[in-house]
Amino acid sequence: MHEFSVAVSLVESASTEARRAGAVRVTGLLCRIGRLTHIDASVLSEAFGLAAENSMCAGAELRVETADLEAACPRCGKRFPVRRWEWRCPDCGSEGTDATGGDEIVLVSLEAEVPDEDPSA
Amino acid sequence: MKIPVLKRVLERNDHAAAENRARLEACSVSCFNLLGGAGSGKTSILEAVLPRVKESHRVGVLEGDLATTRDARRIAALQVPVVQLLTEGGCHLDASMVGRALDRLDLDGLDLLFVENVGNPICPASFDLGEHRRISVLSVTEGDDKPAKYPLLFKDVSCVLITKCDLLPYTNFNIEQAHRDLLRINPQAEIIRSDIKSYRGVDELARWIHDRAGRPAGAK
Repeated sequence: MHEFSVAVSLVESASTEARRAGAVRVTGLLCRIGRLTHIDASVLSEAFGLAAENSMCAGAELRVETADLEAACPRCGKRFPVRRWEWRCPDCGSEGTDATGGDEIVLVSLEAEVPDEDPSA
Repeated sequence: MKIPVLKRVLERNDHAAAENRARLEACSVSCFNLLGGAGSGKTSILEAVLPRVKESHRVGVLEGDLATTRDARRIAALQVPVVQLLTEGGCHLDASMVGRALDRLDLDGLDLLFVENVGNPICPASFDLGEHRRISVLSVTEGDDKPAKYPLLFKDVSCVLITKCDLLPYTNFNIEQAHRDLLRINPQAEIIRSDIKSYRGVDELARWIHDRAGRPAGAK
Protein backbone atom coordinates (compact mmCIF):
# COMPACT_ATOMS: atom_id res chain seq x y z
CA MET A 1 0.00 0.00 0.00
CA HIS A 2 2.86 2.38 0.72
CA GLU A 3 4.86 1.21 -2.29
CA PHE A 4 4.50 4.52 -4.11
CA SER A 5 5.98 6.53 -1.19
CA VAL A 6 8.87 4.09 -1.09
CA ALA A 7 9.31 4.28 -4.89
CA VAL A 8 9.46 8.09 -4.81
CA SER A 9 12.05 8.03 -2.01
CA LEU A 10 13.99 5.38 -3.90
CA VAL A 11 14.24 7.58 -7.01
CA GLU A 12 15.35 10.54 -4.88
CA SER A 13 18.01 8.57 -2.96
CA ALA A 14 19.32 6.83 -6.06
CA SER A 15 19.53 10.09 -8.04
CA THR A 16 21.37 11.84 -5.19
CA GLU A 17 23.86 9.01 -4.77
CA ALA A 18 24.44 8.68 -8.52
CA ARG A 19 25.01 12.42 -8.93
CA ARG A 20 27.45 12.37 -6.03
CA ALA A 21 29.42 9.66 -7.85
CA GLY A 22 29.46 11.76 -11.03
CA ALA A 23 27.05 9.49 -12.90
CA VAL A 24 24.54 10.73 -15.47
CA ARG A 25 22.12 7.83 -15.52
CA VAL A 26 21.06 5.05 -13.20
CA THR A 27 20.62 1.75 -14.98
CA GLY A 28 19.99 -0.58 -12.07
CA LEU A 29 19.14 -0.59 -8.37
CA LEU A 30 19.36 -3.30 -5.74
CA CYS A 31 17.05 -2.96 -2.73
CA ARG A 32 16.68 -5.06 0.37
CA ILE A 33 13.18 -5.13 1.78
CA GLY A 34 12.08 -6.76 5.00
CA ARG A 35 9.17 -9.17 4.81
CA LEU A 36 7.42 -7.48 7.73
CA THR A 37 6.93 -4.26 5.74
CA HIS A 38 4.41 -6.11 3.53
CA ILE A 39 5.84 -4.24 0.54
CA ASP A 40 4.96 -6.14 -2.60
CA ALA A 41 7.96 -6.30 -4.94
CA SER A 42 5.88 -6.30 -8.13
CA VAL A 43 3.77 -3.32 -6.99
CA LEU A 44 6.98 -1.55 -5.96
CA SER A 45 8.52 -2.18 -9.40
CA GLU A 46 5.44 -0.78 -11.09
CA ALA A 47 5.42 2.28 -8.79
CA PHE A 48 9.15 2.72 -9.33
CA GLY A 49 8.67 2.77 -13.11
CA LEU A 50 6.18 5.63 -12.75
CA ALA A 51 8.17 7.54 -10.12
CA ALA A 52 11.34 7.28 -12.22
CA GLU A 53 9.84 8.87 -15.34
CA ASN A 54 11.79 11.98 -16.40
CA SER A 55 14.43 11.34 -13.74
CA MET A 56 17.95 9.95 -14.05
CA CYS A 57 16.48 6.59 -12.93
CA ALA A 58 14.13 6.38 -15.93
CA GLY A 59 14.22 2.89 -17.41
CA ALA A 60 16.44 1.53 -14.61
CA GLU A 61 15.98 -2.07 -13.55
CA LEU A 62 14.92 -2.54 -9.93
CA ARG A 63 15.96 -5.74 -8.20
CA VAL A 64 14.55 -6.56 -4.79
CA GLU A 65 16.01 -9.02 -2.30
CA THR A 66 13.86 -10.02 0.63
CA ALA A 67 15.04 -9.96 4.25
CA ASP A 68 13.48 -12.14 6.93
CA LEU A 69 12.74 -11.55 10.56
CA GLU A 70 15.47 -13.43 12.42
CA ALA A 71 15.58 -14.96 15.87
CA ALA A 72 18.39 -16.39 17.96
CA CYS A 73 18.24 -19.83 19.56
CA PRO A 74 18.80 -19.47 23.31
CA ARG A 75 20.19 -23.01 23.51
CA CYS A 76 22.52 -23.49 20.54
CA GLY A 77 23.01 -19.84 19.57
CA LYS A 78 22.02 -20.34 15.94
CA ARG A 79 20.37 -17.35 14.23
CA PHE A 80 17.59 -18.41 11.92
CA PRO A 81 14.84 -16.81 9.81
CA VAL A 82 11.34 -16.78 11.30
CA ARG A 83 9.06 -17.66 8.43
CA ARG A 84 5.30 -18.21 8.72
CA TRP A 85 5.61 -17.43 12.45
CA GLU A 86 7.68 -20.57 13.05
CA TRP A 87 9.91 -19.70 16.01
CA ARG A 88 11.48 -23.09 16.66
CA CYS A 89 15.20 -23.41 16.01
CA PRO A 90 15.65 -25.66 12.95
CA ASP A 91 18.65 -27.35 14.63
CA CYS A 92 17.52 -28.03 18.19
CA GLY A 93 13.83 -27.08 18.33
CA SER A 94 14.13 -24.46 21.08
CA GLU A 95 11.95 -21.40 20.89
CA GLY A 96 13.85 -18.48 19.30
CA THR A 97 14.21 -15.08 21.00
CA ASP A 98 15.77 -11.67 20.30
CA ALA A 99 13.88 -11.04 17.09
CA THR A 100 15.64 -8.62 14.76
CA GLY A 101 15.31 -7.38 11.19
CA GLY A 102 12.59 -7.95 8.67
CA ASP A 103 11.67 -4.26 8.76
CA GLU A 104 14.42 -2.83 6.59
CA ILE A 105 13.86 -0.82 3.39
CA VAL A 106 17.40 -0.30 2.16
CA LEU A 107 19.01 0.81 -1.08
CA VAL A 108 21.97 -1.57 -1.27
CA SER A 109 23.71 -0.49 -4.48
CA LEU A 110 23.32 1.16 -7.86
CA GLU A 111 24.50 0.51 -11.37
CA ALA A 112 25.11 3.83 -13.06
CA GLU A 113 26.72 5.30 -16.16
CA VAL A 114 29.44 7.89 -15.78
CA PRO A 115 30.24 10.15 -18.78
CA ASP A 116 33.78 8.88 -19.55
CA GLU A 117 32.89 5.28 -18.90
CA ASP A 118 32.69 3.16 -22.01
CA PRO A 119 29.32 1.37 -21.73
CA SER A 120 30.66 -1.53 -23.79
CA ALA A 121 33.53 -2.07 -21.34
CA MET B 1 29.91 1.43 -12.63
CA LYS B 2 28.63 -0.10 -9.43
CA ILE B 3 27.98 2.31 -6.55
CA PRO B 4 27.61 0.78 -3.10
CA VAL B 5 25.02 2.73 -1.10
CA LEU B 6 23.51 0.83 1.87
CA LYS B 7 21.16 3.58 2.99
CA ARG B 8 17.67 3.58 4.32
CA VAL B 9 15.32 4.47 1.49
CA LEU B 10 13.13 6.55 3.81
CA GLU B 11 16.13 8.64 4.85
CA ARG B 12 14.41 11.90 4.01
CA ASN B 13 11.49 10.98 6.25
CA ASP B 14 14.00 10.02 8.97
CA HIS B 15 15.57 13.49 8.72
CA ALA B 16 12.19 15.20 8.96
CA ALA B 17 11.35 12.97 11.94
CA ALA B 18 14.60 13.93 13.68
CA GLU B 19 13.74 17.59 13.13
CA ASN B 20 10.28 17.08 14.63
CA ARG B 21 11.79 15.29 17.63
CA ALA B 22 14.28 18.14 18.18
CA ARG B 23 11.47 20.71 18.00
CA LEU B 24 9.39 18.76 20.51
CA GLU B 25 12.34 18.31 22.86
CA ALA B 26 13.22 22.01 22.67
CA CYS B 27 9.75 22.62 24.15
CA SER B 28 9.97 19.61 26.53
CA VAL B 29 7.06 17.86 24.82
CA SER B 30 6.86 14.04 24.94
CA CYS B 31 5.23 12.61 21.85
CA PHE B 32 3.34 9.31 21.51
CA ASN B 33 2.44 7.81 18.13
CA LEU B 34 -0.76 5.76 18.33
CA LEU B 35 -1.00 3.00 15.72
CA GLY B 36 -3.56 0.36 14.87
CA GLY B 37 -6.04 -0.89 12.32
CA ALA B 38 -9.19 0.98 11.36
CA GLY B 39 -11.78 0.58 14.10
CA SER B 40 -9.33 -0.82 16.67
CA GLY B 41 -10.35 1.88 19.15
CA LYS B 42 -7.57 4.47 18.92
CA THR B 43 -9.86 7.51 19.13
CA SER B 44 -12.03 5.92 21.83
CA ILE B 45 -9.06 5.16 24.04
CA LEU B 46 -7.83 8.75 23.61
CA GLU B 47 -11.28 10.00 24.58
CA ALA B 48 -11.15 7.85 27.69
CA VAL B 49 -7.59 8.58 28.79
CA LEU B 50 -7.18 12.25 27.88
CA PRO B 51 -9.41 13.59 30.69
CA ARG B 52 -7.20 11.71 33.21
CA VAL B 53 -3.92 12.76 31.63
CA LYS B 54 -5.14 16.36 31.38
CA GLU B 55 -5.37 16.61 35.16
CA SER B 56 -1.58 16.76 35.45
CA HIS B 57 -0.30 17.59 31.94
CA ARG B 58 -1.00 20.01 29.11
CA VAL B 59 -1.99 17.79 26.19
CA GLY B 60 -2.36 18.23 22.42
CA VAL B 61 -3.46 15.80 19.70
CA LEU B 62 -2.75 15.39 16.00
CA GLU B 63 -5.49 13.36 14.34
CA GLY B 64 -4.48 11.53 11.17
CA ASP B 65 -7.24 10.35 8.85
CA LEU B 66 -7.93 9.67 5.22
CA ALA B 67 -11.03 11.85 5.26
CA THR B 68 -13.48 13.76 7.51
CA THR B 69 -12.81 15.78 10.66
CA ARG B 70 -14.98 13.57 12.88
CA ASP B 71 -12.15 12.34 15.10
CA ALA B 72 -10.80 15.87 15.62
CA ARG B 73 -14.27 16.99 16.69
CA ARG B 74 -14.44 14.16 19.23
CA ILE B 75 -11.09 15.25 20.71
CA ALA B 76 -11.94 18.98 20.58
CA ALA B 77 -15.05 18.21 22.67
CA LEU B 78 -12.64 17.34 25.51
CA GLN B 79 -11.22 20.90 25.37
CA VAL B 80 -7.92 19.55 24.05
CA PRO B 81 -6.09 21.42 21.26
CA VAL B 82 -6.24 19.25 18.14
CA VAL B 83 -5.06 19.49 14.54
CA GLN B 84 -6.70 17.25 11.94
CA LEU B 85 -4.34 15.86 9.32
CA LEU B 86 -6.09 14.58 6.22
CA THR B 87 -4.08 12.34 3.93
CA GLU B 88 -6.84 12.39 1.26
CA GLY B 89 -6.45 8.68 0.64
CA GLY B 90 -2.80 8.33 1.71
CA CYS B 91 -2.35 5.23 3.85
CA HIS B 92 0.00 6.67 6.50
CA LEU B 93 1.25 9.87 8.10
CA ASP B 94 4.80 10.91 7.32
CA ALA B 95 7.17 13.14 9.24
CA SER B 96 6.83 16.15 6.94
CA MET B 97 3.02 16.16 7.39
CA VAL B 98 3.51 16.06 11.14
CA GLY B 99 6.11 18.84 10.89
CA ARG B 100 3.57 21.09 9.15
CA ALA B 101 0.98 20.25 11.81
CA LEU B 102 3.43 21.17 14.58
CA ASP B 103 3.48 24.70 13.13
CA ARG B 104 -0.20 24.94 14.01
CA LEU B 105 0.21 23.99 17.69
CA ASP B 106 1.56 26.08 20.56
CA LEU B 107 4.30 23.62 21.56
CA ASP B 108 5.46 25.81 24.46
CA GLY B 109 2.01 25.35 25.94
CA LEU B 110 2.16 21.51 25.85
CA ASP B 111 3.74 18.71 27.87
CA LEU B 112 2.38 15.78 25.87
CA LEU B 113 1.45 15.29 22.23
CA PHE B 114 -0.48 12.30 20.92
CA VAL B 115 -0.46 11.55 17.21
CA GLU B 116 -3.27 9.26 16.15
CA ASN B 117 -2.07 7.65 12.95
CA VAL B 118 -4.24 6.63 10.00
CA GLY B 119 -6.14 3.43 10.82
CA ASN B 120 -4.00 0.83 9.08
CA PRO B 121 -2.05 -2.10 10.54
CA ILE B 122 0.66 -2.05 7.86
CA CYS B 123 2.08 1.15 6.39
CA PRO B 124 2.26 3.61 9.33
CA ALA B 125 4.70 1.30 11.15
CA SER B 126 7.45 2.04 8.60
CA PHE B 127 7.35 5.83 9.08
CA ASP B 128 9.06 7.55 12.01
CA LEU B 129 7.14 10.74 12.77
CA GLY B 130 9.50 12.10 15.43
CA GLU B 131 7.63 10.49 18.31
CA HIS B 132 9.36 9.35 21.49
CA ARG B 133 7.26 6.25 21.99
CA ARG B 134 4.75 4.18 20.08
CA ILE B 135 1.55 2.73 21.43
CA SER B 136 -0.14 0.03 19.32
CA VAL B 137 -3.79 -0.83 19.61
CA LEU B 138 -5.11 -4.33 18.99
CA SER B 139 -8.82 -4.92 19.42
CA VAL B 140 -10.42 -8.19 20.40
CA THR B 141 -12.72 -7.97 17.37
CA GLU B 142 -9.75 -7.93 14.99
CA GLY B 143 -8.63 -11.40 16.09
CA ASP B 144 -5.76 -12.87 18.10
CA ASP B 145 -3.79 -13.67 14.95
CA LYS B 146 -2.88 -10.04 14.25
CA PRO B 147 0.50 -10.00 16.07
CA ALA B 148 1.57 -12.92 13.85
CA LYS B 149 0.13 -11.34 10.71
CA TYR B 150 1.32 -7.78 11.27
CA PRO B 151 4.39 -8.13 13.52
CA LEU B 152 5.83 -4.77 12.49
CA LEU B 153 2.87 -3.01 14.11
CA PHE B 154 3.97 -4.41 17.46
CA LYS B 155 7.74 -4.79 17.07
CA ASP B 156 9.27 -1.50 18.15
CA VAL B 157 6.50 -0.16 20.34
CA SER B 158 6.62 0.59 24.05
CA CYS B 159 3.04 -0.35 24.83
CA VAL B 160 0.32 -2.54 23.32
CA LEU B 161 -3.27 -1.92 24.28
CA ILE B 162 -5.65 -4.82 23.84
CA THR B 163 -8.99 -3.03 23.52
CA LYS B 164 -12.63 -4.14 23.64
CA CYS B 165 -11.85 -6.82 26.25
CA ASP B 166 -15.51 -6.71 27.31
CA LEU B 167 -16.21 -8.59 24.06
CA LEU B 168 -13.90 -11.51 24.93
CA PRO B 169 -16.80 -13.80 26.00
CA TYR B 170 -18.47 -13.29 22.60
CA THR B 171 -15.45 -14.02 20.39
CA ASN B 172 -12.89 -16.79 19.93
CA PHE B 173 -10.06 -14.35 20.67
CA ASN B 174 -7.42 -16.27 22.66
CA ILE B 175 -5.88 -13.61 24.84
CA GLU B 176 -3.09 -15.87 26.12
CA GLN B 177 -2.10 -16.64 22.53
CA ALA B 178 -2.14 -12.92 21.66
CA HIS B 179 0.04 -12.18 24.70
CA ARG B 180 2.51 -14.90 23.79
CA ASP B 181 2.80 -13.70 20.21
CA LEU B 182 3.17 -10.07 21.24
CA LEU B 183 5.98 -10.96 23.65
CA ARG B 184 7.72 -13.05 21.00
CA ILE B 185 8.03 -10.07 18.68
CA ASN B 186 8.51 -7.54 21.48
CA PRO B 187 9.50 -8.93 24.88
CA GLN B 188 9.77 -5.42 26.38
CA ALA B 189 6.26 -4.29 25.49
CA GLU B 190 3.93 -3.20 28.24
CA ILE B 191 0.64 -4.96 27.50
CA ILE B 192 -2.50 -3.35 28.88
CA ARG B 193 -5.95 -4.92 28.59
CA SER B 194 -8.66 -2.36 28.29
CA ASP B 195 -12.36 -1.91 27.88
CA ILE B 196 -13.59 1.63 27.87
CA LYS B 197 -17.19 0.70 28.66
CA SER B 198 -16.09 -0.16 32.20
CA TYR B 199 -12.96 2.02 32.05
CA ARG B 200 -10.79 -1.04 32.58
CA GLY B 201 -7.15 -0.31 31.77
CA VAL B 202 -7.71 3.43 31.42
CA ASP B 203 -6.07 4.35 34.74
CA GLU B 204 -3.26 1.93 34.02
CA LEU B 205 -2.63 3.58 30.65
CA ALA B 206 -2.86 7.08 32.18
CA ARG B 207 -0.25 6.04 34.77
CA TRP B 208 1.97 4.52 32.10
CA ILE B 209 1.83 7.78 30.12
CA HIS B 210 2.35 9.86 33.25
CA ASP B 211 5.47 7.85 34.18
CA ARG B 212 6.98 8.45 30.75
CA ALA B 213 6.14 12.13 30.30
CA GLY B 214 9.31 14.17 30.18
CA ARG B 215 11.52 11.08 30.34
CA PRO B 216 14.38 11.06 27.81
CA ALA B 217 13.68 9.48 24.43
CA GLY B 218 14.68 5.87 24.14
CA ALA B 219 13.97 5.01 27.79
CA LYS B 220 11.10 2.54 27.83
